[in-house]
Amino acid sequence: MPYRIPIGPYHPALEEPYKLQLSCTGETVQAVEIEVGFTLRAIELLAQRRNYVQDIVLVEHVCGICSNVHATAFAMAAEKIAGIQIPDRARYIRTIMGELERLHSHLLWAGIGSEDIGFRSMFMEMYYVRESIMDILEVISGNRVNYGMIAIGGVNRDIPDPKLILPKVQELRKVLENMAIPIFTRNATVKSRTVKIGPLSKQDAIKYGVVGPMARASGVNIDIRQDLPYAAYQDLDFKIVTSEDGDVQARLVVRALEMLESVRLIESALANMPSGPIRIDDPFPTIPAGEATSRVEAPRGEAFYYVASDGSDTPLRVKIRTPSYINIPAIPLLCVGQNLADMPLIQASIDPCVSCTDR
Amino acid sequence: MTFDLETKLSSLAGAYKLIHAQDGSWLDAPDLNVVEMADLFLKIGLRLTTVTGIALEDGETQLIYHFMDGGTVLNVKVCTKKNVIASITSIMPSADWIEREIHDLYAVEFLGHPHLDRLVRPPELPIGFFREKGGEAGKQQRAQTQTKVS
Repeated sequence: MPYRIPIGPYHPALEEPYKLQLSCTGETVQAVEIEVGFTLRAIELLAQRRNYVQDIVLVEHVCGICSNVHATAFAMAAEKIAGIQIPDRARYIRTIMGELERLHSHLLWAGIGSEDIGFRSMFMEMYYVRESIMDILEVISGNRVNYGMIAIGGVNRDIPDPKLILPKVQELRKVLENMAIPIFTRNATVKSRTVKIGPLSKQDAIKYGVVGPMARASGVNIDIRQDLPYAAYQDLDFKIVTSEDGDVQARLVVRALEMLESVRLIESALANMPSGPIRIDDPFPTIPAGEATSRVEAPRGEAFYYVASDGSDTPLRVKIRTPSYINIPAIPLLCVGQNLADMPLIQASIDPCVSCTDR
Repeated sequence: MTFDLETKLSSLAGAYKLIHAQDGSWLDAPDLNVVEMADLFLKIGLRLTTVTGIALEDGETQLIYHFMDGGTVLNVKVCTKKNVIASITSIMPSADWIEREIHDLYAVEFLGHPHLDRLVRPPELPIGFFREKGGEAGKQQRAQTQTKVS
């Protein structure tokens, strides 16, 4: 007779509330039920009560980690409706902000993953490096999170001096190449906790429509930066990272290698950034009647926005589909047949964001 | 993608003209059989991104099914009948939460969904919390309500 064990809403892997109801036989998980909605903020509904400028601030609060992604996707949808072409320099600044945010998110995840493995010194090292990325974000935007960089028609702040950023990003490359990647791929302790744990086959990944590093670690070749390039990705020769293994180790390695690609993209964007304005002349452009969708590759995968306008200053409808919303329902596939003690690490390996899911 | 989307769509009853826009293709097909649609799109490899619910004046809900595969993006607009529509969860498991949330927030009944439980709001609260006008009409409605209260 299986016994039931609840994990959450106060969670061993995360500081966010969602609940797993596990059915176990002995130490083996037989079935998983998931509950979300503990922190619903109804941001989609609030967005159709506020104007476009207020909405940029509002959607930044969908997620504390990938706030810039949400503001970017919302602005892109509004710009498509209005037929606005943003200046080239703004495209590059949006790319740099997006990649810095990815580094900060992946390093946060690497820290949490290390702690769940029981590798405390690695956790501290990852958080130490992450602080340098947070410092860069603060130098550029004035904020550690919720940067307020995105405007409809461009960005609010320039990156005047690449020298403020480059040395720290290059330092991160050394840490990744000399420490993080060798430890994550070769260390016996890490491998014993991650190899063949929490597997997700390519077929299931496609069937459940999972996105981001979770999909790419199962051999699914999808990334919005490659499929529907936005900002300056088309100019920077973005290279996708995938793995065929589909386990926790593969998710770890894909994220680690993606950080190297982010560093390369930032270096390339800084070196090739065109001069010129950072936003269009009109600070509050009118969004005419119409509708548009936009997709941005967030650190956890594809973020999707649909915006409809009636020509007034308030959207008719704003739909937000975050990557975690599509990744979390696939958790049972990863958990069934696995050991109970691996549950926190398996949850953490998909980098679930409940703030995004509950919006 | 190696197939001609327009030829494939012509096999669907209720599918009308496809409009190509900057952000992909849009199909306005209020009476489309969504189960047939899901079946076809699964075979040709389109991935369901999400479904947008929009509350209409007459109590119905417009549902926009957003699909993509590589660089191909397709948005299909259908409409509920008496706020009821068929579920596609048995064909595309990724629709499970999406349909539960639209049921929760727009009170749409998805026939054939294996467990149409509430997703994001507690069961003791009424369904249909998001059925509110947006844009200029929503602003006017809220202004009238505030006038009545004061």
